[in-house]
Amino acid sequence: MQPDDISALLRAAEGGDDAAGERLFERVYDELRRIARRQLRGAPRYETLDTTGLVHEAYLKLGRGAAWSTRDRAHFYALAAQAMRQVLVDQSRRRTRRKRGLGAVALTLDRVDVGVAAPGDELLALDQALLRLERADPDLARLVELRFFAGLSVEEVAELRGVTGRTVKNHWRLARAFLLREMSTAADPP
Amino acid sequence: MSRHESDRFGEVRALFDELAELGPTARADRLAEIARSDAALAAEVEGLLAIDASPSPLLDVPVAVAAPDLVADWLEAAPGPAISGQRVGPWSLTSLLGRGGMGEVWEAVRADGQYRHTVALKLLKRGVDSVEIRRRFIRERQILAGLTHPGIARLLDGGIAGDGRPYFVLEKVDGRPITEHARAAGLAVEDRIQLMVAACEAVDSAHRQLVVHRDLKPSNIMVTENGEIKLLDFGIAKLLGEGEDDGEATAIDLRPLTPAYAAPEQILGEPVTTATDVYSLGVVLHELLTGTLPHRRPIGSASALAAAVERETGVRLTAAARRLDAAALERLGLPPRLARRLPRRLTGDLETIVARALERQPERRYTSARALADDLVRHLEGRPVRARRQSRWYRAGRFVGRHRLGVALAAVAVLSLVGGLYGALWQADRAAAAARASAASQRRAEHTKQFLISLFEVADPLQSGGASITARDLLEQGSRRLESELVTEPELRADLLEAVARIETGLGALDEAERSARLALELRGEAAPAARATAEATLGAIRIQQGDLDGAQELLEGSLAALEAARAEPLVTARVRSDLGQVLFWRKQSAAAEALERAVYEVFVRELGAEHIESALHLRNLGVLLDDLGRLDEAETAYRESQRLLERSLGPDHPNLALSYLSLAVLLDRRGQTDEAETLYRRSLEIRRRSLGDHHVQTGQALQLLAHFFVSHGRLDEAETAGREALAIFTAVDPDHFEVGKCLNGLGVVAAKRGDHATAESLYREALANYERSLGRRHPFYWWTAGSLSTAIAAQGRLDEAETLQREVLAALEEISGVESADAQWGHELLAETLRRAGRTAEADAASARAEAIAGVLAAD
Repeated sequence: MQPDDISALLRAAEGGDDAAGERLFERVYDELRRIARRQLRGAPRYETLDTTGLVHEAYLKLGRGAAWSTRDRAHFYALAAQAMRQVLVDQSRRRTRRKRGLGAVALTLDRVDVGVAAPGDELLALDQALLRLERADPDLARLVELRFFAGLSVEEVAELRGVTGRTVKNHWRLARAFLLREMSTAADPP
Repeated sequence: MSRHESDRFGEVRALFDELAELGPTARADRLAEIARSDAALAAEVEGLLAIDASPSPLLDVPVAVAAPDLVADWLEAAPGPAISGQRVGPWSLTSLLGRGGMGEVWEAVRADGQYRHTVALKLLKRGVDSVEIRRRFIRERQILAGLTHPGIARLLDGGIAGDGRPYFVLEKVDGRPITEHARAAGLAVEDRIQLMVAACEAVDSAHRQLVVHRDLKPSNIMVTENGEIKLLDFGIAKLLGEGEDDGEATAIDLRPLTPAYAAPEQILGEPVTTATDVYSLGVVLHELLTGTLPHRRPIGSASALAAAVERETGVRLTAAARRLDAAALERLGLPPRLARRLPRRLTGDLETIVARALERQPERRYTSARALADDLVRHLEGRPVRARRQSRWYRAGRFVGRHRLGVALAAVAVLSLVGGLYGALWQADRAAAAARASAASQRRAEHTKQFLISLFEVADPLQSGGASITARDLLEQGSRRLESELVTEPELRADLLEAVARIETGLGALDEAERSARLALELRGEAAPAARATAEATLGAIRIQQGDLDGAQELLEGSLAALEAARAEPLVTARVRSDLGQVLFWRKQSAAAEALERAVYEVFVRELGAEHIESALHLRNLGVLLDDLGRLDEAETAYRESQRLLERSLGPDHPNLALSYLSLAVLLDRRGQTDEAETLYRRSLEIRRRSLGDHHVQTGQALQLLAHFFVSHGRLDEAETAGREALAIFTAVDPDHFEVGKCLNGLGVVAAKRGDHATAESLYREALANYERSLGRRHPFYWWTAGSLSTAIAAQGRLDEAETLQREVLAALEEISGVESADAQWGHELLAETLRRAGRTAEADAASARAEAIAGVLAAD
């Protein structure tokens, strides 16, 4: 993959070229999977995966040799974070569907005393809440993607966005509170 | 969320920001203050701050920590690029060989060492979830594993990888795609054919086990280092093509299809058979021999592709060979010595073979890959090939065949020849105009004008002293010269290409005409709308001959609009109008056509004078239209006047006049002026014999019209003599042509009139067999002859059999021509006759009454 290619796609996507955006997204997505797969190889199945590492690695690989502006980097991370959100939410949806087919009760009962629903369901609920946040304040929704799905730290986000860490922190607190409220008051599970 | 709501959230956000870093007391004070003016806002922010203070197992860590198994799960299930060392089934991937639209190809080895060879493993892009698909997959795989032929790469294994993606394990082939091999090795035409023979044999062996490839293309036809053919991916397309949606969001349509090599039926979604592979083999053969693909197909939407395929016409290899550019020669890799001789080398057999393999209708192609191989071998051995040469006039003939005898027959000849003639003159005018416009190129333009006129003269059979084949050869030479001589002058070249297209149209070489016209259209570009418009009109005239009246009308009307907008010369516009008149004529809108042609004629008289050949020809066209409208007096006057003028310019023995005589003869015969009609029939026959020879198709047509004349006047012996001679001429050209059927039918009529119903029956049956091959059973000719057959059967006393056939005839004619048509009326009359013979008087009367009712309706129209 040519790094210049990625820069060009990024710029085209920023300029409103939907097709370029789509291609870029696909590439980011593919790259994430490839890296994830390598990290996973030989590892025990439920070992914690460092998605932040994934995103960084994808960035390094895609952007290798290219002089990226901060804007490009911010754009890239936003895309990678969105990709992660999409794949994991899809994955949860698939899992939930499977579960409904085969003894959903047993599986959920297992988790009851821990006080946490199955992560798949939780993630779906989060995604729904995130959609609502997106409508209220898209900027906060992007922040959640970066922090939660791409695993970036407050400082990293601050640097990308060119704001202070305090601002990021405050925004994060609001976004987090909004999501938790929405998730707890949601009448129906998605 | 409405604007109001997001403004509202802005307030929430601002207040949250403000309060977040305050201590509990300051926060409570501030909230109380806000609550006085906006209680809801204060309550909402208070609620959010309360949540802010509580921990969340979900959001306080990144997702990878919150839901690690989910991430792992996703990676397990989601298809993604494989990596070296990965296991797929019992196989271990070693290195990536390639990546394509369908997925990846890896070199792999058996992980457990049970099989020592390296293999090629194809890992498809998309996952397959349903159990049913897996089951079918495994079932089909067993059939494919049974395909053992040295020319087919064996399918060793296949299954579904852990991530849901299907994979196939194939014998690994070290080689190159057939086209690349031919180029790299600089193979001679014979060696290329030899390779195709081997490929066809391998394909045939699979066909005999009922496995169709469906995606044959050079990259699936490999040549190994030893020069042996190995076909890849046999049957895999089928395996994938039948996957249905499993109800999830994963609708599966993995059917691979390579537009350039796909048969029309694949693109149009019609059934795929072994003939589909024959077509793709034909495309590869075409590419191997010319370095080009037979059809340019658009990349893009399926509907654009389907539309393009619908428009495709027959393939002429020599035309492609003559148009070879540097890039195609490069792709071919023929030594220059051989490349120069290529067009000649591809003439004849090879052209016929490729055309047959690439027939649009699957049933007209070779019946098997074996038959294709056999013909290629016959060609290599210098024996006659089996592929029937599709005569140039076949398609034009089919079109004529759709219309009535008599006037229509003469008319199409008249109108189309006028097209060829005036088209050439027209272009000569343009060439001259171009010369005037540019003094620098004047000499060259003069030269090309001469060239064009000489072309036209040799295309005239009288000048060439007979056989129009010679004229064709000269035309081919001419268009070849045209390409090398005029590349620097696109405008002039386009003019001449249009002229060539017109002449080719006149000769019935419609595919070549289309290619020339398209090339001209390309050269015109968008710059000069008027010039482009004439190129479009040329293509429109070709569409008429192809029987595509809608296409013709669209092109011609568009062209006319552009010409009018550009205020083109009146003659140029008039010629396009005349073409449009032809469309209307075939659409049976003769009144409108007549008005149009009359206006055209007036323009010609005004611009060129009534004596001019072109004016005279348009007058004759006008006569044809008046004739068709039943205005026989006016028609006769027009015919006679145009005949007089043409005789004066061309002399009485010019072949073009043979048509004038025929048109007039048919008219006079109908008017009862039998003697003069006979004289004219004989004169036109004489002219044709002398100028075209005894074996020419047009001589046959004159004989046929004469035979028809004799039959209608009861001169049966003369009719039989003329009819038999015509039959011999047409049969020699093409036994499957519908003219052969017409002759057989005519001879049947002669036998029936003599009372020899047994002979009549067998002649009619022969005619029917021919029509079935040449025109199909949807054509009225077929049913007219079937009706005649029924009377011959009835005359021999087999009334039940006759009745059954007649009911079939009636139903067919009602469907083809309409319930209230002259054809249907005739069907009822036939039936009435048989019923009466059988003594079923009441039924017979009912049938007669029905016939009369239709006659009444038709007369009222």
